[in-house]
Amino acid sequence: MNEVIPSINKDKSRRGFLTKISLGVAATTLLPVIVNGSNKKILVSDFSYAPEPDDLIYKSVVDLAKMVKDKQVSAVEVVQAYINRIDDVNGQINAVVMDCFERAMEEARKADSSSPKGKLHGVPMTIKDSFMAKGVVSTGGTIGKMNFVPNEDATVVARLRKEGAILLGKTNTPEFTLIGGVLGVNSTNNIIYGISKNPYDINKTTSGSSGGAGAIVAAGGAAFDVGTDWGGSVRGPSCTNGIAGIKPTSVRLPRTGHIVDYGGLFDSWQQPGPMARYVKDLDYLTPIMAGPDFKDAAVIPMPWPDYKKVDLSTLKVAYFPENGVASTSEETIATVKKAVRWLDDVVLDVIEDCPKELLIELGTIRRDLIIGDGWQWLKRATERAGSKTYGESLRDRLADGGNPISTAQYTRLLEMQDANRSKMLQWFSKYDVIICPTTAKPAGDINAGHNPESKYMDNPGESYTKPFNTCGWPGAVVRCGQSKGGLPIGVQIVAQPWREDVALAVAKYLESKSGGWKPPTI
Amino acid sequence: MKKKTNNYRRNFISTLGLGSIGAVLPTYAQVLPEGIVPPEPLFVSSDETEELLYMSATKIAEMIRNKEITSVEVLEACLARIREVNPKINAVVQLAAERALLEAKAADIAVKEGKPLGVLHGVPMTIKDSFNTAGIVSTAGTLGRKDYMPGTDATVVARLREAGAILIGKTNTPEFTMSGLTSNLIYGQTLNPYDLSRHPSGSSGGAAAIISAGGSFFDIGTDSGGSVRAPSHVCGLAGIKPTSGRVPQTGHLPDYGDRFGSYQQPGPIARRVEDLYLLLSVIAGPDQIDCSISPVPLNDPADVNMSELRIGYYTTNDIAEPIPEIKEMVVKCAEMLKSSVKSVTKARPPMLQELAAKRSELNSADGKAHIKRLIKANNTKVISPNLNISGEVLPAADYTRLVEEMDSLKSQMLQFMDGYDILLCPVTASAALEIGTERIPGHWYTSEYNATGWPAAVVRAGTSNEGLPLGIQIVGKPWTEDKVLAVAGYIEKQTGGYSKPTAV
Repeated sequence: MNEVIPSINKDKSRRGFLTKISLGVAATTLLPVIVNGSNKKILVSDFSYAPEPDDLIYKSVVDLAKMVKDKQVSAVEVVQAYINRIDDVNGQINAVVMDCFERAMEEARKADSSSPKGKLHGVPMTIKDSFMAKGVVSTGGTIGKMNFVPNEDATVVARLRKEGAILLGKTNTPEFTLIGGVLGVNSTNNIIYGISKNPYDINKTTSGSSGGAGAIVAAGGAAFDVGTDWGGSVRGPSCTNGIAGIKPTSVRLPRTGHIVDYGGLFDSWQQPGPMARYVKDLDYLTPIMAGPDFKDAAVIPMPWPDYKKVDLSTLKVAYFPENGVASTSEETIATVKKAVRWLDDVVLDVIEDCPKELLIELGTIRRDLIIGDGWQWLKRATERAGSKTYGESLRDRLADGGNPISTAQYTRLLEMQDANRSKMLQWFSKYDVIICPTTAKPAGDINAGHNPESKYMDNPGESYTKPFNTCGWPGAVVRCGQSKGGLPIGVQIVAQPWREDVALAVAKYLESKSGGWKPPTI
Repeated sequence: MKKKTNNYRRNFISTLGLGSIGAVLPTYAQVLPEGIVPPEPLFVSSDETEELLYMSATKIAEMIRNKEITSVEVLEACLARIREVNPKINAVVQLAAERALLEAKAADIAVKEGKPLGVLHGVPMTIKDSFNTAGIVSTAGTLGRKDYMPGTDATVVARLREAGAILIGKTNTPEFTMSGLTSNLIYGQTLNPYDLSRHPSGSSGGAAAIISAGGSFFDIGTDSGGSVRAPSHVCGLAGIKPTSGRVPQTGHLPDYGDRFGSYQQPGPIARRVEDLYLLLSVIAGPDQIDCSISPVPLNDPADVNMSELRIGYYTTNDIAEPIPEIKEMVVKCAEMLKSSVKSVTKARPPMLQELAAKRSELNSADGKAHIKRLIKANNTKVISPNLNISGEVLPAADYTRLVEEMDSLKSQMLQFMDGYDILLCPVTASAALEIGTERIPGHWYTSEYNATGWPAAVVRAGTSNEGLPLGIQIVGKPWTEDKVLAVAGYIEKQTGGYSKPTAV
């Protein structure tokens, strides 16, 4: 069933590569370890990375935290720089939908007059508006929550603030993070705040659902943001806004305080995940937010693995530049192939292998589960939120009524889902990493209109990301190329469950080759 | 990913070379990076039992390794004991004496030749009949599988055999393990070795009966509502239901899959608490087939700092009042811990009744379609009278709502548990029930911890006025089997734990 096509460079096995190196073909400056013997590991520290820009608004989280801690710069200076940047760009991209600048400045002043509080002392962040933020309007893009000011922070927000991060504001999301107004979650739009725009071309969308987050981080208005990913909502916007993002393994991070919180049939699909300009920041931020909070009952106390210790030379990589489900752009295909060629230089094996039938089966089961109760789960979410008016696509879905089935059929679907997950796991057990597109195309047009394809949340464009929500595997994204029009294109890197270290090591390596995030023109 | 060097389990297979042991078996070391996996512990027995048949598995393994006894001698003693007691208790339903003897001989040769030995090298075991065992009829108590001979072992069986254990037979279970009574249409009723007029409970009733009778050193049961814990309780044994997602169910019937799969966990049953940690460390961890398993490191109970533990206890669920001896036993265990732990408080989780009711609603929301599918898939024409397949089919909208409500209850339970490390409570409301007893509502204190997915162990801590064994239930936070087993071991040490039966 799974067609295994030998790699395009099938004779370039590890051994072939070594031979070539020893013949003096490849540059030895980058890979001195290999030349000296095949027992040597290849670590991400073996590669050189472009220095970060001097501009505060483009610094990494790791460097900002260090600079504030070492008093090279004050928290007030940092926070003010980011606030100024939001003021400059937000009118064009509509990414930050509620700010708390005054409180942020106050916190920055306090940070400067106190000893460092934690790993994020004085680092400015924005947070997706689907997370509750204490004292800041948190809508989840739905009318019922339009004026909702939470009394407490969502768990991940509380954990970041406890480490000293300073919240600047909330970033735009479609209604319940699930229902884009225009293009499914190919955009970020809602009836409260309108549509967010791509900082690389304001006539293009940000993808979604963490589109506000993706846009403002790319534009330098926050050092990082935290999105949530139910079908691709961290990875899609990270890809189309040219930044780095990761959806961790299912149940690593608590969803407490998110508008689609823990519990329910689709519980395990959803993970919060950091979005930042640099891969190293994802490794820095994720463990801060991970682990049980004794409210979200699904979360597991798993140790965080160190990506710096991953030996790239041992990795077996499966890749597919297209999955045969989504109509994928030439530029996206070319970007994936380029990333694979870079990887082929360092990893053990690269094999083109797409489990197409399994992916199609997975997508079908997923859709049938989503619509199988006639959208009642979504209707209950609107009731909990107190929403009586909805955005267009939510209205359409509730009116359409899905495809209600009996519980007997529904439990059968659940059995099929687990059987499919087991088959996926067995397919993947041959590999350590999957490389594939994140979205089928770079950012789409703002004015593309309503996409009927996304009616059942089975938009083929999401077929690259949602399988890994169903399977629960970690998926990272890093910018590896761009379209002719200058729109960023990211590549998706999926690893075995709980092996975020492997995904991040590969992402970091690809970042060293491609340069990763680049400043937008706005 | 790094493979473990010195993987003696794997070496064992190649040295033994006896037929198919099964699939490739990833261990923690293969799915987790270096540094996260705790080092493989040395399992040292502190069991003082003198009589061979009633020793712990850990102790027997030690003696075989140290050449104090041969695997063949141990096996022959077990087989003789099974032949002696089984006509009375009907616990072992398939015997694989010949193959076991071949394997024991090979195991003894390996010891003699100084080969690397698994932690269970040469130790005889039985396995619940709901697990697939290569080359041995595996029925799961359903007529459609009366003659079913699997080609491969279930993951847990393969792992145990890889660690050197020798399978001597299969133990009785109700149809699809779905009853608290161990009886089925193929093999009939299993009886309790402490009183032949009573149930061994179920569904791992055959397992518990033969271990307490000294016919096997351990067994692996499965527990989706109390099926490891209740038989351990009424047969005076030690058993643990691990955290949901700890041990793969591949090759079990019913296997992994769907919402109901998360309630069920395979778990070891043995005479001594020390065996539970050894066995759990052999069977736990992803097999890359069962998609719901997480490689959370399993920590050593010996490293638990007892003085930090906050203990809660409760003696009744207010539905089925336990017999006085059980309530006294729970209080006595709480008292005996006081001097060694941080705090002991009388406390019961909220929502226990709601949780039980919600689980029952969820279980029947599909009109038992999931069980009917099992019956059909296994080509069973006549089902056991104790298999309940009645129920009305609800619309899926009700089901998704029930799941949301259940998850909300689970969260409330967890918020309560944030204040404690361990809960002590009864396992069921009485000692072993007499054959013919009607179903008693609220009798089982176990299924709530299948719904939450928390680890829960049982160890014998008392005796009823009629002389029957009584176990106590020790419940922990998710993934803290180490603490659960540390407390179980402490109680065992104080109370003496297992004591051999007199009726057989």
